[in-house]
Amino acid sequence: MLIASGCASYPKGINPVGKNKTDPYGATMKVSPKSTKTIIGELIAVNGDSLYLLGANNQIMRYHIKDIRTYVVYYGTPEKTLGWTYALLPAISISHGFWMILSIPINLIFAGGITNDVKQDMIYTNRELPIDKLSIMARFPQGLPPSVSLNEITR
Amino acid sequence: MLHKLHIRRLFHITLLLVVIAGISSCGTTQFRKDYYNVNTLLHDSTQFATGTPWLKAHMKNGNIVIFYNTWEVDSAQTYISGFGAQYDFNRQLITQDHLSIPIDDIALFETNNPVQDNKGRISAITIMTGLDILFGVVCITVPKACWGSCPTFYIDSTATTHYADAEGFSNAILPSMQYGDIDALPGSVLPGSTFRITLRNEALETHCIDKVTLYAISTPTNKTAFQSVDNKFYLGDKNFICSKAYDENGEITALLEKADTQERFSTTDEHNLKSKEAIYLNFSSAQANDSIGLLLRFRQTLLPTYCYYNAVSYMGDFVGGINTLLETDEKIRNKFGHDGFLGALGGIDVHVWNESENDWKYEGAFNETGPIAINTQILPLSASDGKDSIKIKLVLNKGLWRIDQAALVTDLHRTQAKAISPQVINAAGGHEDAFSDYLSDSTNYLITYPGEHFYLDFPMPEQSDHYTAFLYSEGYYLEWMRGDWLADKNILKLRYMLNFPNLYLKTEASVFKEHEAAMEQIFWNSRISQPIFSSNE
Repeated sequence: MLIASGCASYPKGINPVGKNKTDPYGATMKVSPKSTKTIIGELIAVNGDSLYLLGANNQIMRYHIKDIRTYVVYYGTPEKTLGWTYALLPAISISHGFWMILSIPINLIFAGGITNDVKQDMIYTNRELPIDKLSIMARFPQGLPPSVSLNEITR
Repeated sequence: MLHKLHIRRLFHITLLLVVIAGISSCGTTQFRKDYYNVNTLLHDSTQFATGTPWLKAHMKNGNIVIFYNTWEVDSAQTYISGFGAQYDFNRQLITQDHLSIPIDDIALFETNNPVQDNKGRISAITIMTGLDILFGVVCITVPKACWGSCPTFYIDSTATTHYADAEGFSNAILPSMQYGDIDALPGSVLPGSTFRITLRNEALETHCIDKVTLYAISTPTNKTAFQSVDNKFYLGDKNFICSKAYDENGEITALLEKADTQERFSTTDEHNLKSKEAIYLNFSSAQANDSIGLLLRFRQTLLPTYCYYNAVSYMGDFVGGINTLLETDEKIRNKFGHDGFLGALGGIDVHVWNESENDWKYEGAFNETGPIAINTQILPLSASDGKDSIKIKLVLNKGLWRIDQAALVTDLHRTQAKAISPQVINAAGGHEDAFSDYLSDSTNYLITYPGEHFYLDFPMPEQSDHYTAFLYSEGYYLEWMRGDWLADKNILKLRYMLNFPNLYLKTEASVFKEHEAAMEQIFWNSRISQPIFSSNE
């Protein structure tokens, strides 16, 4: 369980669609600045020394990159979660007699590891996706278009 | 055939896979790619693993065109066209049609080229599932090996099943078969103290315990208290260690000279589960006289457990009716016991060499059922012809008995034990002293379910330097029918087993032999430690 829960997971209340395949939006991102509380929003663009998030109530937030402590990018949901392993493997354990006391937890941990691994395909931390490559996850990976005003951006 | 090594390997591999899965769960797959140059895009697209992928064209004005997998670039590289959808900068859908977009209006292209799919994970799941199924097949093939039996008693409440100090009424599989069983407890007990015994139900059984009594024998410092095979108590002198012990495979003195749980045991004969073997013991410095006895520390292998579970599985869904028959018909009931099937398996027969008659003389037998706790018992010997050494032959079923120690005790004298009832009985995690009335009232039974623990406190008397304790438990247990066993229903084979036990033990030999090694490993790891449900409820 420690292994399975040791990595980043989706924040509660977030349906991470973002940059997955044919979705036109930017990735969902959780930013933890050095001095203020953690913010979740859509990554709009990375422009020079700034990062723009579209938060709740369509509010655009700008952060200086040097003020950001950590971030996590959730850019989609996996097509195949392999969640069926949670049902299959423990079900087989029933045939193990008393050994199911051992084999059910082992199978659950294994299924947890597999499904978490799948989920990790869609999650990047700041260690895995450095700030200089972060723009590919933005709604505007090319940077903020000159013709678009920040105040006009909604979702 | 699954050997211990294979079982161990199976679990090591399983654990390794879990660790690998856990480690890999923290990895990532970076498969997104942006292209600022259409040439590079076209070049890479020929190498995409999944053919022409979806393509997002991010336009300089903030709009986006998402092409599905039909896009193409014209030969002059001025337009990209295909079926797709165009959105404005707020991602409101503008149109969804066959679109043709000037390359010059596009800031960059975005697509993905998956470099990792689920193949590796599916392989891991397949291996894991295969291991699970393999293990399931082992348990289905040998369901009797996946379950334990009998109430167990411990002085150390944290000890594992390997170190059970006593094991109760292993043959009492029905109310009518209820009987009492005495086991010697190790060490000595201080007078005036409260002596605590932990009672556990570690099997898929309902244990119905009518009585638990501690027999305390006041033991002088230079004496040792013993229990005989017929449940009488003796005081005797220190043991004579066996000077030489050997069997058909060679010397086994080191295994039998000490009470160290280094047991001597053999495997069954693949042609007959009733094949006998002999162990020879020499006590070179012992003086034969009228008050000597042979001490053995012993227990059974899983052979009787296997046979009993076979019998229950042969009953199939008739188990209720057959148990009723057994309850009401003593003749049929006896076919299970020492007058029937258990008698065919036999005990450890003891013969002493008689020098004057130049022959072995039968003295009696050790025969206590149960594979868990080690029994310490003595057999008083009557054969004596005044020589300076004593030779003993043990005749026993191959693969049926585990012997930890063989020794001679001298100066044996009968003694009396003080019977002590438990003063307080607590359920682990339950109410204080909620069960004390159960064992003091002969009409009440303490009913225990799989995984339950109880603490029994005995008040020790004051009048001695120290006591040697023996635990008496009386009751019966009801085996839980397993779903796997129903498929083995075979009433004819049950009749064959009970009416012709000798023939059955011969024909079943090869089947048992296939699972003998794996069975031991599985059994000792199959004990239930946590309650499935509780008698408190």
